[in-house]
Amino acid sequence: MPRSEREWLQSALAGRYEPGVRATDAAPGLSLREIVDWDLVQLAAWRGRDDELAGHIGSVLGTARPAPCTGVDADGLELLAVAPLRLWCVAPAGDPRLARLADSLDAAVGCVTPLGHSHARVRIGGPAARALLAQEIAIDLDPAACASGRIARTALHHVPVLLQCRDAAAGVFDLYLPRSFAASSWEYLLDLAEAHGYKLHPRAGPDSMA
Amino acid sequence: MGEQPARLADGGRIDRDDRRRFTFDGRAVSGLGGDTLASALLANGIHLVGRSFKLHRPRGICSAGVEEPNALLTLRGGARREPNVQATVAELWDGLAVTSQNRWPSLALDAGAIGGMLSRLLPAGFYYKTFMGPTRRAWMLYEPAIRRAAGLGRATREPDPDRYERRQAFCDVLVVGSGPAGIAAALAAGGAGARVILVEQAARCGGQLLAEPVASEAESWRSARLAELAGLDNVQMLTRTTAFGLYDGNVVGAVERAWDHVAEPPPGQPRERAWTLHCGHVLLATGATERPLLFGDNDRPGIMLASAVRRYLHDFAVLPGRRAVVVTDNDSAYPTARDLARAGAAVTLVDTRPRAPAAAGEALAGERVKLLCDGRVERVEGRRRVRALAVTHADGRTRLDCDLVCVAGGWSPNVHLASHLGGRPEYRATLDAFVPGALPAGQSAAGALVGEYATAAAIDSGWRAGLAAAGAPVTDPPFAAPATGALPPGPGPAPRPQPGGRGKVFVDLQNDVTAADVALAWREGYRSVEHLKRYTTLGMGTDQGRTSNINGLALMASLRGEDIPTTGTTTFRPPFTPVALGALAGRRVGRQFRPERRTPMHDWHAEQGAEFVRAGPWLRAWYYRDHGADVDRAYVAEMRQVREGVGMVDVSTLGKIDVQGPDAAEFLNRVYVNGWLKLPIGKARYGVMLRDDGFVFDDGTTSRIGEQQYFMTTTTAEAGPVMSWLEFLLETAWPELRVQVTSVSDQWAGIAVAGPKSRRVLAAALPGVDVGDDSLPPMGVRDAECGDGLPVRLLRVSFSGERAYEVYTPSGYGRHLWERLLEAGRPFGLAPYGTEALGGLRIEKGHPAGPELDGRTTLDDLGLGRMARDKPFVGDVLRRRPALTAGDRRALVGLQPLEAGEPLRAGALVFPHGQPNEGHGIGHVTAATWSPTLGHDIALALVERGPGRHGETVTVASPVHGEAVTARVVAPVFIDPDGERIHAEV
Repeated sequence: MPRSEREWLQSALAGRYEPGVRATDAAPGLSLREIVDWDLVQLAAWRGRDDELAGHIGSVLGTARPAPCTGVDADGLELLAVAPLRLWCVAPAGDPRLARLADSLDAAVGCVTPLGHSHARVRIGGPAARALLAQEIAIDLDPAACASGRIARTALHHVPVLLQCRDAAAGVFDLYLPRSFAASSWEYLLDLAEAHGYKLHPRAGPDSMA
Repeated sequence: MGEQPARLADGGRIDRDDRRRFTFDGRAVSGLGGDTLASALLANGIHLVGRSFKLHRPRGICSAGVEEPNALLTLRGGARREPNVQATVAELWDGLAVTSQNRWPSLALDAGAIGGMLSRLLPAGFYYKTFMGPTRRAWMLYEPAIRRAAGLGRATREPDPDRYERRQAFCDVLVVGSGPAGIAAALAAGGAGARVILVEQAARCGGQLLAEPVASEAESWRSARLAELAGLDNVQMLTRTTAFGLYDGNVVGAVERAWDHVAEPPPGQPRERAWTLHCGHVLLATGATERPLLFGDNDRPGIMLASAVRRYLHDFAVLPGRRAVVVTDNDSAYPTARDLARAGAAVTLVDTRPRAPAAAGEALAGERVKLLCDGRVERVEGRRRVRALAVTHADGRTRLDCDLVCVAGGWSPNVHLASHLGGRPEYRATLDAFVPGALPAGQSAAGALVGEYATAAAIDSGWRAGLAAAGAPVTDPPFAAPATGALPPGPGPAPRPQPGGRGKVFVDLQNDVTAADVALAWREGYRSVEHLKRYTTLGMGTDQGRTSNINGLALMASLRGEDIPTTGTTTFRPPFTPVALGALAGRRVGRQFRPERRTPMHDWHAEQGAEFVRAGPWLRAWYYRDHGADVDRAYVAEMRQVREGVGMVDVSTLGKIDVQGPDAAEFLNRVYVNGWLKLPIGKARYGVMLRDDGFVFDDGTTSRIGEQQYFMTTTTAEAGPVMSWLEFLLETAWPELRVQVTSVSDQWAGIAVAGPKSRRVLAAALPGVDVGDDSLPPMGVRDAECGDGLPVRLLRVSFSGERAYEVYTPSGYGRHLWERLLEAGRPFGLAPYGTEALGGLRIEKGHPAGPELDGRTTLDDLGLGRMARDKPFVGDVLRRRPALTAGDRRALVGLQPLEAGEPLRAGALVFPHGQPNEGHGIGHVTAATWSPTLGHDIALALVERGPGRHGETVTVASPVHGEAVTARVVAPVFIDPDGERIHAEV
């Protein structure tokens, strides 16, 4: 990302993000972090052309498309099967593979929609991560039911969000919050998190763990 | 222990080193850790704890659980004051302040007790009969006084200072109830590997096992099994948690009183937590509730359920009375008599049966208990506490001095949850009780709930049900059932004792419903159980008639000359016990009541003193305080700024949809009324779409970005519905179209720059971008990148009628673009404007918007009929219905007052001039504004045969404001009807 763009870019959580520890006990139950410096494009196939879209992905990334409601990691570029015929391609900002995926897609197969500014992304970890999410999200997050890589479109206090289980064993999840709701949802999450105590880490890139 | 005279020296599951002080009606008393409020009161010899609902009769503690009808108290004070808490459920904490309810001036001397003396005037339904006249409004006069006289406690009016929380959980098997059956079931299912949640409404697990002595085989069994459960990682035990409702899909609602048992929850912790439990299988082990007996004055303090007395003895080491009479019609009360005697009480047992069965008799062998058979209570002495009982029996008549009467009228399985999904309980004659009927797949029941009252049988049924619920092979329990001191009721029900004796025979203690009230209801024709309930209020209230339903039902059955199953039973509905609304709300309170949508420039607006207005979930800048002291002054200044110079407004809230595909043009051609097949790349077009019923749905501008890519904008309000509608059409109506639609509303920030200086501002703000009229003519569109790399999408469209542009950029750059435009626009006097000015500008220009697109208007109503092309589009067929093409439909017009200073208001009704302003008139004002250009109010209105009335004079009346203004009907476009200003530049 060019320097000027970094200066122009404003997080949806700006003004509502103060790293530090907020816990009554010595060990906060939650680890929270906003993930920044990432980009997202959506690839969508016309009906009946999804196999060709998968072929396109294979030719660019050398990886198979993810199964429905899951994601795969191709050396830091994540493919999330968010809906039938649709994939989200999430990568560190400036990853040239995103442009290759977008630019080389045959218009007879599908289309590309840039969505890199449409969501805020929050990483939630710590022993209380599942308890925090269970306060609002009606999805079974037990590792047996929600394995690493699993994604789900669900709702957080009426707001449509995408939940991604990054590490089932460690209990680390990413929440993609629609940008216009992100500040409100973030304030709500922090309020819920008070019951568990939390450490809010400085913003970091996609490869950081919570 | 002198402070707690009824506390026994030994036993109980209380912490004798944990003394807890509390006050009852200001009197300082104490209890112990592990006490309920009821056990602590009884330990202090306090039986009189309240006044009854209607008759203000003195009442005492009756039970030891959620069935308690009498002991409703107000706990705490100030903002945490909570009324109507059952003393039998509330746990005691140090410093608790408790007050009795529904009495004045004091509990002992209650002026309201005069109601009891006038009770003959207050039968069931008395208010329906007595207080309905002489006029229709009379009830309004009586009602407050009646409500004051009859009632419960009063809730605080202060905001609740505590947190509440919601929680979702999933399990293979949910076990409700932790009595012997529930414990065995949870162990069986958990041992089989299932994910198990066990919920128990009390603080301690054990159910009826808690009525066994601490030093007993039963207690050893309970402790060992609970330790085994605690050792299973796949079993979650939730105590202080009541499963209050069973819903479709095996979803169970439960409320956990997480920190309700302390004065204040720890920081951050919820006082209560509402659980939504998603269960593979629901196993109900909810036990049974003992029934009282019906005799005159059976409500006196000191008259308690026999099973509750045994629980107080062994769980809390409290001896509620030293001279006890146990009255029973079954075997289960015999252990209470035995244990009271062993605790030092003088005990007489009155059995209503002719003789005691052998098993019952054995329980009393060697005990100092006097047994009277074929007994019947004739009279109760004592008002604030029972003093004596006069009974007849096989050997004659006896007056028994006493301070405690234990009553045992059989058991009613707690079938509530099993009935919540509509299942009807079944009457089982051998139990004289209802048990769950056939349960749906994924649900089962065990223990006393299905009539297995004996401990060993309950454990066995629980174990087997637990294994079956987990899908495991059913085997015998691996542990032996403990010997207990309890007795099941007996092999079969005794003949139900007829209510009798002197005094009122109370069936429902909480609602003061007597046997006479039931008989009155029957005489007056309320013979259905449901009618009986509603006429007498039997079974209503916080206890939901747990101790009264069967007795009332039996009385009605007897009056009807039918058996109980023929008479039927009432319907059980959630919640099983009262649930605090706070728990259901969780943290969705105050600012978090609903989520808010904020634009990328929201914080700038706030920092600059904008007042916000809600538009659905959006917060939009309404006006800026710098522009005027109030909205009326500010928006006029902002409108003038646009008309005379240049302004900009945040339009990020507009719906934005990316439409792509080889068939995208055809798709748009079908959803919009106008044509889209020939729109060139780089051009935008205004479009209107209809619902399939022919009414106008939404409008907006759609731009062709590329060969097969379009950028659709919708109104703020309909962004979501339009997106859903487009997806629906593509999935169902036209799956053959190769089109993808994606909401990009949050991807793009949008700013409208409007006014004759707008182009110059853009030129200054967007270096390297050609914004000349040749490059960007009206309805022109282009994506561009500024010299410094800032990407923008420019649309030359106007909502105000002025030269105007919409500038979009990715949302993360939204604030930067806003501030860049402001900076560049400073030499041109650029200022932001809010939605109030935005609305005023469009009214001046006559553009229909949300108030006109109200779901009831057609294209022709809005003057847009000429847009429709001769081609198929959604809504084209049904818009031709006669009612939608009738000539007298209300259609869009403009209004202007004859006198320049007269106000026009949105919502005002339009009447023909000179006729009475009655009814709904011939139309209504949809939107109104002061026009700084014209110097008077103007309005848009929907008026019958509107276009045909241009030039007519009408009356515009606002009954709310008491105004009637004479106005002229004009065309809806007030300024620049030829549209020249979109080219104007200064």
